[in-house]
Amino acid sequence: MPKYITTVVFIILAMPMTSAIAGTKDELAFSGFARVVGGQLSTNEASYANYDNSWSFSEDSLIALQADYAINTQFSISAQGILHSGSDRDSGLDWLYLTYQPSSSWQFNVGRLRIPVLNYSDVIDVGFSYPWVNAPEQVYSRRIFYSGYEGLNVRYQTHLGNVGIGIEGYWGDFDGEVFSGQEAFEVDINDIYGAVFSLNYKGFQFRSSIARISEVVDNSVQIDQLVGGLTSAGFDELASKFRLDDGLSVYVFGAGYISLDWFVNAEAMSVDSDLDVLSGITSYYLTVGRYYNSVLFHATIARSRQDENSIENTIPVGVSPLLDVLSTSVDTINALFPTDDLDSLTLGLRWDYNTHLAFKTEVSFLKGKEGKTSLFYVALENADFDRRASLYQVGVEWVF
Amino acid sequence: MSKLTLVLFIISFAFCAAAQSRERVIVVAHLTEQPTSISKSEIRNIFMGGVSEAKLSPVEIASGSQIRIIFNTRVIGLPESRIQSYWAQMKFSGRNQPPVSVSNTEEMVRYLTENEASIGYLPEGIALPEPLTILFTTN
Repeated sequence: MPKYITTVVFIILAMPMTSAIAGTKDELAFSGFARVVGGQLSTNEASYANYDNSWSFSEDSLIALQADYAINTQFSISAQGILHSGSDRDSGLDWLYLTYQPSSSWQFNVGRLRIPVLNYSDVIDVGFSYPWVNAPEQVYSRRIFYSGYEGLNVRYQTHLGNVGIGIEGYWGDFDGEVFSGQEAFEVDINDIYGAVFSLNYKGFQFRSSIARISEVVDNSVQIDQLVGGLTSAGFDELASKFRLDDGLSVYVFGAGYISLDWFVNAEAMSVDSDLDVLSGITSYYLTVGRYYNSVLFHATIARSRQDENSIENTIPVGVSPLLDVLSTSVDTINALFPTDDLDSLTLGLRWDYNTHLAFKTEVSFLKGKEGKTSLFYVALENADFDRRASLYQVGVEWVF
Repeated sequence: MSKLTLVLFIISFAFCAAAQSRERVIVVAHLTEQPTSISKSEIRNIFMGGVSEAKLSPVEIASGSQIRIIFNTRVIGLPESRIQSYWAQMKFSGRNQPPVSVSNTEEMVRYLTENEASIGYLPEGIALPEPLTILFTTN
């Protein structure tokens, strides 16, 4: 259903776009952002957030252009295109939506949007909007945040005395990957809906969010083959556990305080999966920052803990060569599941050179668990890597 | 006093000068209904894109001006860098647009005079044309 809505919106959007070019300067506004980010990992035994032992500036660097066209005081259209240099990010039109704002309290957006699960998940590309070079990987690494959805977002803002209240709901179609990492777990999501509730009082902020991905479609050849093999050998129960045909829920709670001199901010996220293969994960971060004029010093602790995968290999070994192959396949696929337990401490500095340009640097001390993936990518020959490393990063953030 | 102490003193003075300036800021609006008073937290709410009882559109003076620094320090209560990053987040996620920006106090007076239901800030003591009302004065 949202796909039809989006198609209609795109057609509507296409019409005023042509006249927008001839529009006055006030009706059509261009803006944008860019970031150049470099990083290096202290070890050559693994990679983390796509960084390895040599300096790379191509993983997170990007440039984006946004066009906002005001049709009248209530309707506007916006488009945002992003060019990524990273190998696993696609460049293209990331946002394309129609905004209807009948009053200062209500806002309706329809079109191609991003999921606002976490505080910064829909602006993860706008590095200027957050203190770190790299938002805490344990919470922000899920690829779900990088992929847009096509649908509807409704926002309502009000106040109760001095308390600002925000309520937001969204619903749409989504084509993207749920979990980062191994190719074996590529799945498509067809339906996503969620809500965000926020409170602001003086410098205090509370934000709570829930998202439900109701339909996951298996996109993985490896898992399909395994499920086929298990079914034909009569292991229906085991086969059903590998079948990717259910949903997952995401719960987020965030709180913070900000003053002229310092801030504290934390977000906790829990992903509950109905799928046996994609086990849930709990993660959080806590950041403390101190401003000295235009310089910000900050420290972040972050942690993630992944639930144990509950699939038990019930295939008897040594009965027949076919069953042995099947049993080995189950073990192999099982071993590929992400087990992203990781603790980290990040110390960083942000210097706002002016109101459009900021320089950042930070170091993250990473402590994972041996034998687990811990958000590292480890080649087979380095399996005994101790999952401890430091990530050094520098960045320049620009908005225009 | 050693040279180092003197240098440190000058640097710390420069850092604190804006916050400790004795200059006061008035928050001024072009009201359509009279009279209205407004609290500091409501002004903060209006300038940070929130919803308020007084339906006023905020106008700011471009960054770099002393009057803006005093307003951000004493009324908004946030560092300039934080305000800028907040608006980047709002703008590029389609949530909100930053306030209208004017380049100096003369332009501010002109803009407020010409636009009903607008609210801005000016240095205390400035001559105000007829439709403008002072709603709040900083310490």
